[in-house]
Formats: sequence, structure tokens, C-alpha cells
Amino acid sequence: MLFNSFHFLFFFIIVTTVYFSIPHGKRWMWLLAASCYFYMAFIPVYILILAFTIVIDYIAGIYIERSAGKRRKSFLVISLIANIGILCFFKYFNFFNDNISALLRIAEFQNPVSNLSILLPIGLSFHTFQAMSYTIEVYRGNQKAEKHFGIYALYVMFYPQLVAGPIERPQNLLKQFRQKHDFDSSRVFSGLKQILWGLFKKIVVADRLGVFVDNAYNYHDQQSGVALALATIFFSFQIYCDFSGYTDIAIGSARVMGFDLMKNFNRPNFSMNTAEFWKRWHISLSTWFKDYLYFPLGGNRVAIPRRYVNLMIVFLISGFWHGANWTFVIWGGINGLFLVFGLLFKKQSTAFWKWTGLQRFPVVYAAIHISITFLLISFSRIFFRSQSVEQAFAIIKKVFSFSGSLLNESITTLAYCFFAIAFLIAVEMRQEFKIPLLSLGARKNYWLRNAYYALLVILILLVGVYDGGQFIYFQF
Amino acid sequence: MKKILHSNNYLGFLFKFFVFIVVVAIADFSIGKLLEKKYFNQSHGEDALTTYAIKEVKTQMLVFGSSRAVNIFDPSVLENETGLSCFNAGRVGQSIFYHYAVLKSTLKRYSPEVIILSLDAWDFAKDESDYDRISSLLPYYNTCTEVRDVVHLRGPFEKLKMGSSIYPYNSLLLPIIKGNRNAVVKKEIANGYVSLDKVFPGPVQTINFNATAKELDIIKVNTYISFINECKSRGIALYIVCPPYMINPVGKNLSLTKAEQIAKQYNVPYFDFAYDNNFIKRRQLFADFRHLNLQGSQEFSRIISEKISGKQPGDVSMYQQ
Repeated sequence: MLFNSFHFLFFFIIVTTVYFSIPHGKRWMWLLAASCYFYMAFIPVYILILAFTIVIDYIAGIYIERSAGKRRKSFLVISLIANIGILCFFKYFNFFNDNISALLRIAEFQNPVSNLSILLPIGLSFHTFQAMSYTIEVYRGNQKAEKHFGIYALYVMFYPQLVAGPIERPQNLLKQFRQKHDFDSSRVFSGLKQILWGLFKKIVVADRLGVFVDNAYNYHDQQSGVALALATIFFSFQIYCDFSGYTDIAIGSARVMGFDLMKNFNRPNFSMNTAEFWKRWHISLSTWFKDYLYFPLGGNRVAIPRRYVNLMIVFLISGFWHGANWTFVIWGGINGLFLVFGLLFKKQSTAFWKWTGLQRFPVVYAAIHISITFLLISFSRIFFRSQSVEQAFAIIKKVFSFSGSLLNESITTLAYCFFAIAFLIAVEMRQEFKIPLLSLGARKNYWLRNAYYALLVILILLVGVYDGGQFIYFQF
Repeated sequence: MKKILHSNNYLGFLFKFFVFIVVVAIADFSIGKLLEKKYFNQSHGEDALTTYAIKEVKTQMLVFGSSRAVNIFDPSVLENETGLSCFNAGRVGQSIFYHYAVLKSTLKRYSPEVIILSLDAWDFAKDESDYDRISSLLPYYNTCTEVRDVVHLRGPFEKLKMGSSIYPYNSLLLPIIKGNRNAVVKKEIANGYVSLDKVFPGPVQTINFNATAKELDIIKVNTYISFINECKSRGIALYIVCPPYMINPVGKNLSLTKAEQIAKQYNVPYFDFAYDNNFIKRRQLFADFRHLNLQGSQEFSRIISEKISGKQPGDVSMYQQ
């Protein structure tokens, strides 16, 4: 069930209406049933995988709390092995098997193990990480083990964030299932507005840009370097609007029912450097890796060379988390290198910008930094978007040949793409820099606000792409 | 009212939501009506040709098909050779769904004497994008009931979506502006044919139909049968043609085999030039591997004209070239 479908619209209206109509004590049952239905709308049988990890983690949580010393640790290890084991089996088995086959072929052997022909359970990486954060936090003593099986199951399965996050922490979400949420029209409107903005980002911006990007990347051998460069820039906006659009709908849907999910994006395209970008992009995953991998590795409190190694480890694993393909590992590696180089040359960089004197012109200074950061991140995404490493290098080669014309696509397609990006930037500039002229949606005047949101609906109807398909991050 | 607008209860919510829906509905209706007016006022472009095919054309001969109809069948050649007035009602990127809907809409007004249906080797293959492209028919949904069954193939919520006045014109804003640019000039509709001037540079691809075979879409096959039935029930001479490709084919194409089998079953003349050696050897007649260029299309249109003039429809011997 996609968030941008009528199926979801009816589901959401029914779930929310019933939610507010039944007593507080029964709401968890209703939300759990709705979440099961939501998940089973994709591939029904895969709910058994989810059920398996929920049971394991639920029991592990209770025993971790009751135990001490090595025994306590062993329950955590059991939970982690179960979660990572399922993730590896479904997501990475074929990847490892392919690589083993390639190595064996070099040695002129044949791999006797054939690949699995199974579909990846939707959102596996997301709910696995969320489940792991629960047992780790119980182990660390930051969270009490949840005794109510239904509430724990709902923590993993809560439908707004089940398949693509935000990856919640138990400290934030679990307690909210016990709180009574009364109908509050200001929260409902706030949630609905966020859903509408999310739909706009997905249908008008992401799926529109996707038309151009898919054509350029799928037939890259027939494209000019300029068209591929433009497609790479467009892809940065596409993936941002696709993923943050999904997140907006998720957060908005939860807010309508009174739940506060964590912020996942903070206008990352306005970042002044790549380190800042990673604090603004997919925040729930970045903080997950920071809390559960980077800090345990020593974080910043180690010798400088070791810190760089830690950063690289985190980014390489983060890349691998996204997909079982070397393209994602390279993408993660490039972003890790951006951060390492940023730290290595911090002094020189500061001295250089001081020498240019541009710091006296903050707007120009910020524009240059934002542009450089955006271009670096976009460049790394060539690997993220490409089907293979070979394709990525072929595209890079063409992009840097600076050849050919833009207009393999019709002028109409380009016009819609530029309009969508311009609208997005205008709205986000208003939010980022508090520009009053662009703040129509935040005006106190009720009718002006209404007009702004009506405009969003009209634009979705007028220039939205209705056949854009699923969200990019669903595949992870 | 101010009190209700600032209350946080159900009543306040419902009132504010109702006001918002009314604002959206008024805007949707007004903009939708404006777009409708401008859409049907277009003097040129693909949409104008579709409107002409559905609402105005009265020629004796009609050609249906995708780009392999639009770029290959020249009505002026067909007219000269057969003596029948002709209009090319094909549309680039469209499938049998579109052809059938336009045929039904046209037949509501009149029955042409001859219809040519141009086929492609992948016409009946399962392809979701063919369902998406049915959106070209959305502007006709309210005024032309014949297209509705086809439009409903897009999905179960299509009827609901049509509640919006803007939705039928989704993504059509810029084409509408373009099509209205010369609105003051007298409305002139071309004959639907678009020639391609370039010459296929090669190399000639080998296409293995066995390896690239996609499962057939039964809905498309049934729509093809319905197309044939509509023509036969009205006594229209239907000719089904697969124009040539500039490829080295390997194996049998599933779509074309099925199309030929059904044509034979319904006693409809079927001309298959897909693997015709007279064309494959002559690269100068092609613009790309799927489309004949100006020279090729003139020659091919003449060949088809001769076949139509020389034989009577329903003659089973026509299955063989």
C-alpha cells in the first residue's frame, strides 16, 4: 500500500476515524491490526518474518533486563544475531554468493550454491534497525523492557514508519502508545498539512524529475554528457523529495493521531559542508549509526587517525545498509572520504576562505558553500543511482566530457522539472532563511493559508505524476 | 464563525475542513473548465489530432497505430493510389487500448469504408506504461462515453479521480498553451502523417525474440479482438499490417504470431512485413530500426495501397504476401 495511493487514503481515513472513536485502552489493538493489514498489503507471508523478530526481541528485552553480566550480554547477542541474520539472509545472501562465485571463477571453480529467488521484505532494513535499537537501549539501561507484547509489537510495526522510517528509538515512541491522545484539531490540521506537502514533494517534484532521470540513466549510452549531468542534479532533488516526502506523510499521519515521530530531514540541500549535510539528511539513520556504531568504536575520543577510520567504517556500513551492491558501498565510501578530507583540511579551508575575503559577503559565501556541497553530494549519488559500478564510471566519464545537447527530452518535460525544483527551493528557502515574502503557508490569515494549501492541491492535480510508482527507499 | 475557526474540537475541525474543500472544489472546477475550453480549442499538436479523429473526421479510410502508423502511412499516397480519402489517426506511443477507444468514438458518428491497423512486434506484451498512456483519453471521458471502458483500465479509482475537473488535463498545461498559440489562424488539421527525414546510420541489431519474449497481456489481446469485431460488425474492410523493421530477427515474435493467428481466425487480411527482405536490405529507407523514413514510408504506403486496391477484403489468400 503506497502512501500516494487511494488505497492508503481510504485506509488512513478509516484507521484515524476508528482510532478516535474507540476507548483509549483498545487503541493499541486497533493500531496493531491496522499496521498488520498495511504490511500485509505488500507481501502477506512476510509478516511471519516480522513476527519472528518481534517475538525474539520481546523475550530478549525482558531477559536482558532481568539478567546481569555475561548472561545479560548473551541475550543481547541473541537478539542482534536474529535481526542481523534475517537481514543478511534476505538482503545480502545473493550479493555475497555472487561475489563468492566471481572469486571462484577466477580460481576456475564453480560455486555449487545457487542464488535465492526471493523478494526482499519491504522495509526490512528499517524495522530491523528499529528493533535492534530497542534491545540495545534495554541493555544499556536507558529503556525499561516492554512487558506488554502488543505494545512492543506496535513499536516495531506502527504503520506510518514501518516500511521506510523514521527509525524510531524506544525512549521516544514506546511511551506514546500508553498516552491518551485526544482529538486536537490543530494537531490534525498540522498533520494533514505535512501530509499534503509530502504528497506534493513526491508526486509533483520527485516523480516528475524521475521521468527525466530514469530515461537518462536507463539509456545512458544514448545520452549526452550534459543531459546526464542534469539528470544527476535532478536525481539529488528527486531522491530528497521522494524520501522526505514519504517521511512527511509518515510524520503527518502519526501526528493526526497524536503521535510525534522524530524529525528525519532538516532541509539538507542548504548544508554548507558535507558534515552538516549528514546531520540534516536521514537524521534517524545517521543518529542510529552514531549512537550504536560510531560511539562504540570510540567516536571522537580516539586518536585522530583512528577517528578517520571510524568515520570510514560508519559510512561504508551505511552504504551497505542501503543496498546489496558495490555501488552503495562506494557511495558510502565517497561520503566518508568527504568528511575525512573535510577534517584533514579544515585549517587550510578556513584560511583559504579568509584569504578570498568572501566571508564579508555572507550571502555569496553561503551560496558558494551550499552549491559546492550540493554538487559533491550529487556526484556521489551517481553511484547510488547506477545499476552497476561499470555504469557509474561510464556516466562519470560522459558527464565530464561536457558534450552534447540538453534536449533529448522534450522542452515540456524540462519545463515541468524546473518549475517543480523552483517551487521546492522557494518553499524551503522561506523555511530556512525565514523570508516573509514566500511564507504564504505560514501566514496568520486563515484565508491566505487556505489559499496556499488549495494551491498545493491544484498543483498536484495539474502537474503531478500519478504513475510514478513506489518510493525509492522502499527497496531498502 | 471566528469562534468555530479557533476551536479545537470535531465541529471546528469539520467546519474548517469543509471550507477548505469548498475552496479547492471551486478552484478545481474553474481551472478545469478553462483547461477544457483551451484543450478543445487547440489548432495543432497530438491532442488536436486526437480530438479531430474522435469528433470530426469523416474520411473513407482511417489508419490506426502507434508511431509505426504515424510515421509510416502517408494518407496522401494512400488517397492517390486508392481514390479513397484518408486520415492517419495513429498516435505516437499508444497501444491497442487507445486505437480501440478512438475507433469506437469514431464509429459512433460514421463508418469508414477501410481501416488499416498498424501493429508493432511488442504490441501485446505486458507493459504497465501502456496503461499509463491511456491518460491521453481522459479529456474525452465526460463528453465521449465510448472511451470510458478503456479509461477504467487505468485503475479502480479512475471514476473517482474524474470527479476533479483538472485531473483529465493533468500534465497537459504546456501542450495546451502550445496548441493554442496559433489559435487565431484558421483551424487546419493535417492528415496525421509525420514524416521522418533522417537515414538509419546502423548498425543493424540482432533481436532475439525468444530471449526478449514478454508474457502476452490478455487484456490487450482481447481489445484487439474487440477492434476486429467492431469493424466486422459494421462491414468495414479491415487490413492489419505489420510494417518492416531494420533488424536481424531471431525466433518468432509472440505478439505478431498471436495477431496473425487471430486475424486468420476472423478472416481479416494480415500483411506481415516485419521480416521482409526487400526492406531489411535497404538501410536508406529507414529512419531508425523501427521506423521508415520519408522515402521508405512513401514506398511502403504505395505497396499497401496496391494491396488494398487489388484485393477485396476478406480474401483469405491475402494472408500470404
